[in-house]
Amino acid sequence: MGDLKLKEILLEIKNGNELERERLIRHYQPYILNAVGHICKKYVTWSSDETSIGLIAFNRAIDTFEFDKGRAFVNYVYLLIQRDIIDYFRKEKRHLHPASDNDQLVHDKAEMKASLESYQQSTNTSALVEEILELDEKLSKFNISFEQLESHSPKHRKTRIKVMEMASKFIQHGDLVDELVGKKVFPVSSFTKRTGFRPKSIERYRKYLITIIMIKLHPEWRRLSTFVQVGPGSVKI
Amino acid sequence: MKKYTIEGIVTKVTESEYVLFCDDGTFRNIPLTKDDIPMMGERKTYTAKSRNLPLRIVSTVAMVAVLFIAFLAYGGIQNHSKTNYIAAIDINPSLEAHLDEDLNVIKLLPLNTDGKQIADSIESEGVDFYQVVDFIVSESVSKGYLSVNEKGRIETTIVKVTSDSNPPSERELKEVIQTQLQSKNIVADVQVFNETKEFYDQSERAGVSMNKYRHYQTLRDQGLVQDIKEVKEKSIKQLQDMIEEEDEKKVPVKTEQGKGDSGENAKPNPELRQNQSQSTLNPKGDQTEHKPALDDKQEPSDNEGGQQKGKKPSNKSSSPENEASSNQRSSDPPPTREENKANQKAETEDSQTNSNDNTQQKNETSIESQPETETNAEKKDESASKGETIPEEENLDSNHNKANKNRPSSSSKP
Repeated sequence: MGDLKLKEILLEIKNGNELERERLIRHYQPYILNAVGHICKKYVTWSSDETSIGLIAFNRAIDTFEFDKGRAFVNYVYLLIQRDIIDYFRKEKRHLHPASDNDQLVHDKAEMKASLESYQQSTNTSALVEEILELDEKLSKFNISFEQLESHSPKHRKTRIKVMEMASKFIQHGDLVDELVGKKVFPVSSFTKRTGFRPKSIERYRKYLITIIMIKLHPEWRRLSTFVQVGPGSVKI
Repeated sequence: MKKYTIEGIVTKVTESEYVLFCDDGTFRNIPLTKDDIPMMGERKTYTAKSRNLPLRIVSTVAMVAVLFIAFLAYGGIQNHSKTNYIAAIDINPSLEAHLDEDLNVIKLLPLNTDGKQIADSIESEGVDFYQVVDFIVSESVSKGYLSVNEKGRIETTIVKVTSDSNPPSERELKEVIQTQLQSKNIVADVQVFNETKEFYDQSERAGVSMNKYRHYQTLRDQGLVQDIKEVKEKSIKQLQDMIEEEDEKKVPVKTEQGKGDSGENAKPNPELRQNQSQSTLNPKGDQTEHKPALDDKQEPSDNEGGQQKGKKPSNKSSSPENEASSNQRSSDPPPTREENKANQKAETEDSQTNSNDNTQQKNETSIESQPETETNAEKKDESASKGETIPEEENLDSNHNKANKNRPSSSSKP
């Protein structure tokens, strides 16, 4: 999601468009879940208390985010979620195990250090997270999830290059791209007739091929695009 | 083990793994470690162990493993399943039991479909051989292979494979079978044989049990079967019946032969009886009518006697003396026949005294039918007139060449 688009959506939400709020929350759901799990250092689900706290923090971030401060939205969200969860843990600990002031001070310092490291890291990857979230959203329309892609990825370098070549040739045909995006079905027969690739290899790597096509169709995802460049090696970000 | 690193960005974190979008453009699922939930977009490096071992190492390890397994298997076979005896049991189900030195059954092999049914219904491994035989007989009765109404036949052949232990007792084996049969009110012939490993190998090559192979040899010698396939489908009882039928056939033929001679001698040509009683070498035409039957029956019996080599008691013999005695034995008629024969013989003897002329006439009729014989006879007559002694030639011929039909006998001359 680009900055301009996000700015528009946030403005609409502030004006009372709850539908957009709902849409934005749904878009950032994987990130919220991931951030909560990362902060809690355990895998969490939507039924966890920590996730609810994270969701509330995200909702507050929507309301309080200001573009003028020059901060990435994702980083702001992460900061709020982290703060709320730490507060939650503090309350829980005090309630269950009331600690001494000295212990509390040491604990707070350690947490602060860890949170700063995390914040620094998340600042660097905020743009990439946005791209990943958008790719995830696109792939979900094709019923493709990231964890499925390992089994559909080509193992050998030559095959990988061949699939990248397929994706490059596919996006050259506008009608095929429209058909793919519109119908959410890969036009295997049309593509093979035009290009001469074997339907069997297309079918075998279909999900991976769609993923690469999606990335190639969005050159604005600059960081992700570096991973799908055909060549001896991709550029590390 | 070779290690390699996977480097990429985290795209998704699930309950058990996180997905890395690797630098080479592929996606890899990496197992999630405890207390480490990576952040989306975070760069991660994962060190994995290479599964692709060098082919040379894999092949070496595989070869060593195969050799080791083969060595263990060979050692296991040597130690635990050494066959000391093989026992073939034939009822109609044919079974073959391999026994160890303690006479426990190592394995029970079915040799036909009926045998398979029996073998499937018996737990035989490690069980005492006599007990297994008892089970087999019992199962054969219960499955209807042996019935009260019909006399059965059970043959067992034991082969010693190695000679370092006591073989199964024939007497005990028979007792076990008989006891089981008696308890079921079944009548059956029980035979136990001992054979050599060579015999077992022959039967195995032929694809039949040792008992059937023994019967096959007998039937083949008698000319009743030509191929082992004819024996395979038949039960031991059927094979034994074939042999007995053949024996029964033979006995009446020989009896008829004796009877026929005496009959013919008694009625139209009493001199023939005289000729035969004087010497078995008479090649005259009237006797040639009987000769083929005699030869057909006697020659195989000679062979049989020679080939059986004491395996089976035979009343046939190869020497002419024995042959004559066998003829004598086979022509022993019941008392009524004896009386008739005695009367006929008496008549024959009476007629022999006055039958020289008649004999001459009879010889002439036979000469007409066989001119070559006559020329030979004339030659003999000439030699006889030259002073050769007839009895010596008769003895010579009777001892060495009885089957030479064309050779004339001087005894036919008056």
